[in-house]
Amino acid sequence: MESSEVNMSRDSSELDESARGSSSPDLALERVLSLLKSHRDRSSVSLVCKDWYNAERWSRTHVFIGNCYSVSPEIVARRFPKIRSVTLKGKPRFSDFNLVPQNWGADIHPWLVVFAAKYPFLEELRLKRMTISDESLEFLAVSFPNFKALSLLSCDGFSTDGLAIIATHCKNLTELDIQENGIDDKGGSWLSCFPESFTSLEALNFANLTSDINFDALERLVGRCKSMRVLKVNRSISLEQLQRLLVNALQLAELGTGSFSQELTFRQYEELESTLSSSKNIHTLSGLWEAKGLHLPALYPVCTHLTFLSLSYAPLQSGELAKLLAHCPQLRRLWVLDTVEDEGLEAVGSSCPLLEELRVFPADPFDEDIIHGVTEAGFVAVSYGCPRLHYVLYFCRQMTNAAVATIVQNCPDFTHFRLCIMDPGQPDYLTNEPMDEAFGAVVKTCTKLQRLSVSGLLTDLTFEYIGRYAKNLETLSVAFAGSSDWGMQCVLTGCPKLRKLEIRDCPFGNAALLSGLDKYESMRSLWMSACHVTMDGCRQLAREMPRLNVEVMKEDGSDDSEADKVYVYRSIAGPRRDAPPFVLTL
Amino acid sequence: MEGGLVLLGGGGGGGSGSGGGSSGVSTNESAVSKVEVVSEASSYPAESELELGLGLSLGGSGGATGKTKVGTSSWGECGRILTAKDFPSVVSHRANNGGPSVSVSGTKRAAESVSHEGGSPTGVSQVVGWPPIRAYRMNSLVNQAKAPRAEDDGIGEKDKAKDSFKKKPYNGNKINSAVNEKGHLGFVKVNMDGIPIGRKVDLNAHSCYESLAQALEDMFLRSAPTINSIGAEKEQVTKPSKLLDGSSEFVLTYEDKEGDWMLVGDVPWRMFLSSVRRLRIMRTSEANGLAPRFHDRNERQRSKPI
Repeated sequence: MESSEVNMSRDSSELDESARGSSSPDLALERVLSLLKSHRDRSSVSLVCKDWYNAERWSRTHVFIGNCYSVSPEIVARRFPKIRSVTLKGKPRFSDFNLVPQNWGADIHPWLVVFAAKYPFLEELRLKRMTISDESLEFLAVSFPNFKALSLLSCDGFSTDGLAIIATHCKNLTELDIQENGIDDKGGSWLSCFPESFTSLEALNFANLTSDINFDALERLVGRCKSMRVLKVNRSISLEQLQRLLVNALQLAELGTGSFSQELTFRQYEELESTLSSSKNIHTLSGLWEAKGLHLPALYPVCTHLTFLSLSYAPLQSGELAKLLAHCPQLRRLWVLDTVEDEGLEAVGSSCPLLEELRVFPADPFDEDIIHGVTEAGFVAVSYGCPRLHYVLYFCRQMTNAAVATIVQNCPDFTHFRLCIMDPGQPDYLTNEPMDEAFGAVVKTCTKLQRLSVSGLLTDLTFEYIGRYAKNLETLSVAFAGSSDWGMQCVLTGCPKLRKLEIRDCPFGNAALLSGLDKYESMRSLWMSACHVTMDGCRQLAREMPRLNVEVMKEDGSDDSEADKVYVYRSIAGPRRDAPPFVLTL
Repeated sequence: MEGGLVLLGGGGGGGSGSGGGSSGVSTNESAVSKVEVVSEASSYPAESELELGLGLSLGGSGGATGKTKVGTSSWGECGRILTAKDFPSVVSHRANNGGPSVSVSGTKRAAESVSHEGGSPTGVSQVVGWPPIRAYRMNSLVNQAKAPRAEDDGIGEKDKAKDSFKKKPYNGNKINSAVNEKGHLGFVKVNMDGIPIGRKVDLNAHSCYESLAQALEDMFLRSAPTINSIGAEKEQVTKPSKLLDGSSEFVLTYEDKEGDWMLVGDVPWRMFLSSVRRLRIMRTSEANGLAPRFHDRNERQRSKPI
């Protein structure tokens, strides 16, 4: 994917639609290439020669754009004439944590306007961290008669009114996936907008909306959409209602249960159990927002073939989790809240030997009095029981170097290691030393590591280790760490595959920033906030690297010379034309 | 230094003392909750009780703390949650230094309080965007703590009307873990009339009403038992809580899962645990509609539907 972005820059001068070959070898090549799905493969293909480049661009139907400002919709449309599916990512990731002010940008509308002209047969749009208004949703609904799939994650700017318009107008809709967004939830009537004649829906996810919806409308909708395989309802759906939905949708593969809580009569409970037993296709289960141990046994039949269980909004206790997991031998992915504590994680280790991914979220991240949550012991327990673990996101309040060393020894195949010790700058709680050796062990042992998030008290040594050993590292997140410019320099000069680097509250300054001059064009982006970078440093970077966009956001009350938030990214579209006043492009 | 609301040394009641105390407060946040008690114990005269006020000295009633003048009769009522009128001298005295000292300490206390909105003293929640949890998730954690369940108003209601008897016999797990309606580890918010900043109490840590009431009195009345020992009778753990028996200015009430405010103590402890959403220490005068005095309690119990 990254190389495809680079690709765009190299041949922006070669764009010539009419260069398409018409001889049969090219058509045959196109046929073959149309089977290629991976972006990286396609990028490689397009670099072979001009013919292959053309064949590839005519056969591509899905384009992935990791940074919406790296390229313009016009350039995309010129190069790829046959796109049916677009995935776009907008704001820097730290915007999820309120580090990016409102109205920063990443508005989808200009893209939609171009797409309406060039891709009238567009079918799918998947957005992450973009701004989309209700007007844009309306434009989408009326401009693309074949529109099938809309997925919004971490987006903002729209309301349930926009969803109503989609439901009303998109006659061929197969997927409506509304995940964790900053949506203005004005009510649940949008769901009633699907016409009675509408039967094509295959995936519906409104789990993160809060308003009540009309249950009858939902029941009828689910009943008539016989191809539905994904249904994730919100909290307003009760257990009894869930049963009524399921009984007409036994073909479901992914289920989000809603609150999973209610006072049930014995008969109702039996009915629920029976329906769940018949739901033999469910491999992904989520929701369970208020699940009580009482009702969890009804899920046991489903648990048998479950591969992904998300309890990240369900505050279960250790015992409840243990009982549930005893029935989930096939589990590959598990998301939980830290209410399950170390004991719950021990159960993970003993019940789920095939586990590949674990995410432990904090139930109460700010509550200092809470001495619950998970510790290093839980993580270690999982590592003993789950040798195939390769993806972890772990929020905890204490950790030791020794524990992490043990963990990676047990699980050397980590590709994603995201450890968040919640108190910034906290050392190994037993030895009081920095956590350098922990992350050193990670990068030395886990040679396949692609993504790393570090935390705790860290000196430059951590970054020396990273630069020296993390040869496959693509994404690095750093906060409250490091001792000097040297740390960041190690990473920039050492990690050949680095694509995304995000740093906050670290003592890295201009020297560090400028040491990456040769690197940034091969990366998607760099974010640095609350570091020691100055405006002069940023200006120098901008001067020396004209193909980079160097953007600075200043905070009220900060010194004129400080560059509070710096966002640097490569682009073939030049500087942003839609930057708000608080974003300075240097 | 005197007065100290802060371990700043603590201290008695001089105007300057308090002033100094309050400034100290803002810088010593993290130290407060833990160290406070210790320094108090080591310091002095009963006037220092001002500090206790520290904890609760915010706004409103000017501090519903337990002590006032030196070793006065207030000690005799150590089980009682007192109001401003218990220590006029303190109030006015503070008023001199100001609103500022009160509000500053209030702020500090806010930092100490376990409220999720507040800042915690040690830094986790004082940092923007840390820990790195998506804003959506953050909001739903907050809402999990306060929003009424849809089922409570809607479906839940109609099911309650039916003769619902508990489904399969559940294992004992639930019984010991006071997982309340929020399923949130047994911590519920507690607010006291006149005090803007709330606290949280872990229901899991208690097995009966007396213990809970005692804990609340400790929390809102004084920072630690040691204080009590200074020149006054020690707080008896065995003494029945004034909050529960109706002899105090305040009563303990709770909001149940249907959103009604009820007097604490009427139903069996476990049933209380399963229905309590949050607590409020209410002025008796305001609680007339729902919290009759002790002698009425039996009557009330009979008439109240369980």
